[in-house]
Amino acid sequence: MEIDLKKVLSSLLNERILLVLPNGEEIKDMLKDVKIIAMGAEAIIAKAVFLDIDVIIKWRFPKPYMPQHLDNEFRKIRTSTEAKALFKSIAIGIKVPIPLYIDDDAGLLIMSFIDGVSLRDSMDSLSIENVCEVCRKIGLYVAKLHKNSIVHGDITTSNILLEKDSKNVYIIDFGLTNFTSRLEDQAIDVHIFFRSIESTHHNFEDLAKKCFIEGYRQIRGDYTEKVLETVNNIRKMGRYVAERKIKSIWRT
Amino acid sequence: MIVLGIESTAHTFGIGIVTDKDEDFVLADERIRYIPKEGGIHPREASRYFAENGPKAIEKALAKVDINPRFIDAIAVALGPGLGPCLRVGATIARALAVYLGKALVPVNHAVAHIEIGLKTTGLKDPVIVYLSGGNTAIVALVEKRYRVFGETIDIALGNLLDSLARDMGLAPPYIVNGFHVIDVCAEKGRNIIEELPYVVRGQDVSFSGLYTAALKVYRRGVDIHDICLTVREIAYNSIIEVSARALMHTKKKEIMVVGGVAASPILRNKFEELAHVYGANLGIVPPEYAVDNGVMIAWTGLLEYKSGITIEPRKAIVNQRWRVDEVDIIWR
Repeated sequence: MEIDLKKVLSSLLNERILLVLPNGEEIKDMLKDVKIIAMGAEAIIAKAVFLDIDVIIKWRFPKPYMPQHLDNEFRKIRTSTEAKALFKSIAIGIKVPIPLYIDDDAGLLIMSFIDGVSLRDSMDSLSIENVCEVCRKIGLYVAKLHKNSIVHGDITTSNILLEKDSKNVYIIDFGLTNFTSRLEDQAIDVHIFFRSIESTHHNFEDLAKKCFIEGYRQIRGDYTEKVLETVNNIRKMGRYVAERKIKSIWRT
Repeated sequence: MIVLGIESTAHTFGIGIVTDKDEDFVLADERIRYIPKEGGIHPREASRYFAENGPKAIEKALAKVDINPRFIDAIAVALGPGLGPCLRVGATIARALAVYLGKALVPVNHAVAHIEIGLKTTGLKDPVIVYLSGGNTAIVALVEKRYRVFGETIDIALGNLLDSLARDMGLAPPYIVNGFHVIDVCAEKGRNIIEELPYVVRGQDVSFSGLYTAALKVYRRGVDIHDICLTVREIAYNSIIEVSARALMHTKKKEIMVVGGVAASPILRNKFEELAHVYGANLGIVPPEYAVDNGVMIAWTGLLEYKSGITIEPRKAIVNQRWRVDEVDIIWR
C-alpha cells in the first residue's frame, strides 16, 4: 500500500519550489515526509508536509473487489464531493480541515492537519460535562450543515475530532456527503450519529443524545421536532422493530 | 451434555442434536424444507407443512443418535425472529417435548444462533459479523455482552432483493441452482454496468428498495437482463463490502465473519476474500451446510445458554416475531 501511495504522489514528491526572498533564494520541496498513519474504510490516510504546512493526505485507493470503472467513478465523485463540502463548511463557520490540493482522477485530497483525537477514542476519558458540551457542539454543527443543504452522510464518533490543546470540535470525512435539504436525509444523518453512540458508547447514550438535540435545536428551532419524528420513523423501518405497527387493513 | 434444538423460523424445519465436545459435536442434523410451487414462502402453507412433516424429522434425528430421549439435557427452540405461524409449530413441539420429557426449555434467538454456529465452525474469536440472509442484512459485533448492530439495511434485506428480483424477472423459483443464486448465474453474461441504478450507502447502513424498483423499471423498458443482474449484483454486494469495511475500521477488530443464507454465494465469498486481504483481517465464512437455516445452530446456541443457566418456563415460551439480535444478553461470552 505504501508503494502504491508513493506512486500516486510521485509527481508531487519530485517537485521543487523556488522561493525568491528579499535576502536571497530558497529551494523547497513541494511535498515531503509522507508517513501513513491510518487506513480508513475506503482511503489511506497519511501525514506529510506540503508547502511547509502539516497536512493530511487522503487517498481513495482502487478497490480490487469493485468493477474498475464503477470504482474509478466512485473515487472521483467522492473526492470532489468531499472537497466541495469542506469549502462550503468553512464558509458557514464549521471547523473542518482546509482542502489544499485535489486530484480527483487519482482520488487524492490534501488538507490541513488537525492535531486531535477522535471522539470515539476519547469519549470514555471525558467528564460528563465535556461529553455534553462536545455533543451539543456536534448538534449545532450538524444543524448548521442541514440548514445549508448539506448532509454529512457518515457522522459517527470516528469522524469527529477533538483538537488536543484547544478542545475544538472538528468534523471530518465528507466522502458520503449529499447536497440536499430533504428531511429524510437529514434524519438519517441524526440516526447515524445516534446509532454510533448506541453501539460504541452506550453508557453515554441518553446524555449524548440529549445534548446533541439541544445543540441542534439552537439552530433549527421547532424544525428539530420534525427531524426527530422522522428519525423515529426511520428506526421503525429497521428489521424486527417491535414498536412498528402493521398497517394492513382487511378490505372486503 | 446433550441438547436438542428446533428451528422453524421460515422455510426450514430443522432438528439438531449436539454435545459439548470440541469435535464431532453434531450428533444429528435433520432438515425438511418447504418449497413453494410458485412465489415466495406462504407462512400458513409452510407451517402446515411443518406440522405434517416435523414429527418425522424428530423421529429420524432421535433414531440417528440412538439414545433414549431421557438422556437429552435440554430442548432448545428458536422463538424468533421469523414468520409467526412457522415459529408457533416449532415452539409448540418444543414445549411439548420439554414438558413430556421433563427437561429444561431454552429460548434461542435465530440471529444469535447464526452467529454462534459461525463462531463454532470458523474458529474466529471476536470478529465483525456480517449477517446476510433472506430476511436479514446486518453488520454486528460483540460489544459489552451484546451483539450490537453497527449497520443494517434500512429497508429490505439482501436475500429479499435478490429473490424478489429473480421472481419478478422470471428467473425463479428455484432461486438457487447448483449452489449459485440465479441472479449470480444470470450476471455472468452481463457486460455493462447500467449507470442509472442507484448505489445507496448511508453511513454504515445500506438500502436496497430503491435499487429494486429501479432495476424493475429498466427491466420493463427492455434493457438486457444480464446487464441488470450484473449491475444489481455489483451494487448490492459492494455496498455490503463497503459497510463491512467501515465496521471493521470503526471497531478496530481484526477478524471478519460472514453468516446466514447468502454467505454461501461464491461470488460474495471472493469479494470478502479481497476485502480481508486489503485490510489484513482474518476471514471466516460459515460452511454452506450451516449457512442456511438448520437445527444444529439452535441446539448449539441452546447448549451455550443452558450451560450459563438460561432456561424458560414452558408456559412463558411465547414466540416473538420481532426479536432483534441486539436485545439478547450474551452472558456466555
